[in-house]
Amino acid sequence: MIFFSFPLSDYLTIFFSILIEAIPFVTLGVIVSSLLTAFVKDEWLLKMIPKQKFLGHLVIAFFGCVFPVCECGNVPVARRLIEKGLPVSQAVTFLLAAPVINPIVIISTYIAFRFAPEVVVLRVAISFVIAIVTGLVVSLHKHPENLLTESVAEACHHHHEPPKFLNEKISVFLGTVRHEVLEMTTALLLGATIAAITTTLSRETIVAIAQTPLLATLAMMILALVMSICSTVDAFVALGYLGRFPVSALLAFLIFGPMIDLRVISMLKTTFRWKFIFMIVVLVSEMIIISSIVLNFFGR
Amino acid sequence: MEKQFNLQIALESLTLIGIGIFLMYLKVSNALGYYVRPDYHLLTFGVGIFLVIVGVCSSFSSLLYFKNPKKSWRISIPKVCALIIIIFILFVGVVTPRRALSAQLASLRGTNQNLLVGTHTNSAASSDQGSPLLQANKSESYTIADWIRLFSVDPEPDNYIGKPVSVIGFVQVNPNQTFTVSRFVITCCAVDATPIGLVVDQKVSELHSDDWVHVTGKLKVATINDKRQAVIEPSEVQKISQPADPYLY
Repeated sequence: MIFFSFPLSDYLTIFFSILIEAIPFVTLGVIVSSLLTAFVKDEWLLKMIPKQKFLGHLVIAFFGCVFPVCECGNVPVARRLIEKGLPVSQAVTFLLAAPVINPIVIISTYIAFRFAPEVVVLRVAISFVIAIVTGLVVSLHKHPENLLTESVAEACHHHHEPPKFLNEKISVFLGTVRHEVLEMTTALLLGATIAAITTTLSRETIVAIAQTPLLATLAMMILALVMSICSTVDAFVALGYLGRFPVSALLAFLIFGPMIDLRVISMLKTTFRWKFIFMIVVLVSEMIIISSIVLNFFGR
Repeated sequence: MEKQFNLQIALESLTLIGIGIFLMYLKVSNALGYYVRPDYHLLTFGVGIFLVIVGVCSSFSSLLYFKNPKKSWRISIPKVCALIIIIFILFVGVVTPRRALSAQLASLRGTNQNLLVGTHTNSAASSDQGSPLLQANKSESYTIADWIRLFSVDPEPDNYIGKPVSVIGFVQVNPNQTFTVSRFVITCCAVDATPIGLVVDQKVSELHSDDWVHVTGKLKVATINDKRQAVIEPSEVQKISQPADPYLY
């Protein structure tokens, strides 16, 4: 069997590369989330977001520009926002939009696709729409607290005001960093293991599946799911497939990857229940496939 | 608030220090190059330092005044198990020998001759002035990645006949017992490693898969699998040890 014919060192190298690449970005996200816990009052944060449902989602979709963290960093941030009183549906919009709609990712996508600026525009626009639609769908749920894991749901009931004195603030900051870095690292181990096992499988097989534009889209989505690479550099990886795949398939990779991949899913589990994660995955996938078909219709 | 020693926080702090030291160790021992792109090395090192500082400070706080109001004071068995797993994995990461990705993985991923590779030097960038690709008489200094980029700009193999080549890579044995001198190209980290290579028109003889070689020679045109392509006519194939930075970017 081909599967077992690799040296163990390949699995280890890939496993550690996912972990070592993710830990610094997770830590940056945890730093943001811990600063929110220790220094920012709940009402300040909630004041920034309009009460009206649609406008609220619209504003939250741009939060990535305020907290520029990639997809692994923004799970702890989203969880903190929920605990500080943000509706679950808006947190979902934030989770899906922030990894793409932030300055670092937009610039790196532009550098990779300078010769095709429409890729940058379409990536941002489609991600934006999908994030808002998914958030609005979630907002129809009658008991959003049932979507959360018990510990997060419970944490929402307490009122977390940041402590008054600086030494206490620092202590809370340190405690939150310690706790969340370890929690996210533990979650990452599972995602990294699965990703390491699957990326040693044949990539040419995935490419070979892609005979029609729709299959190419599906193939690139599977690739994005498995590779779990950071949204700040994935544009350069997509560039490698330019010419072999239609632009719609590359866009599927660029939009799906930051929203859903094995690493993100394993970390989402710290906040949401499996059923809900599955629902988000299905919703996002459907919309990406639909947008890909529309793009094909226009000859992309 | 009372003074109280807390074992859970102490263990967590130690694990955090462990992760920080692990990241710093990888940077100091020049091993990060096996896993992530060079741009990330400094960030990784910085985060390592940060985690050690947080770990040290919070291990003091496990002894000192400030209780973290959210934490219970009991040890949680699942959490401690998770800590033990993290420590074990860090241990594995330190003690296992560092190997670059293997030739078998390269064969499976398909050594691609036409891939447009590289992050900051894609084909558009390589036509900038000062690019080594335009200095035609310096082709001995091209890496395998430079050659592949050049082929993607100008795919006609006839244009490369007689160009001197001097490249370093690992051996991938071809079905006809010749070999390909290959390297992995990394965009982000080892997950996206893509193999590229140049076919060498020489029997493998005493070489094996994964041996690192320095191949010098000239380019010529050969037809492989019904496809005309530039291959290396070697004048010398020298076995070398694996370079410190096994990947190209």
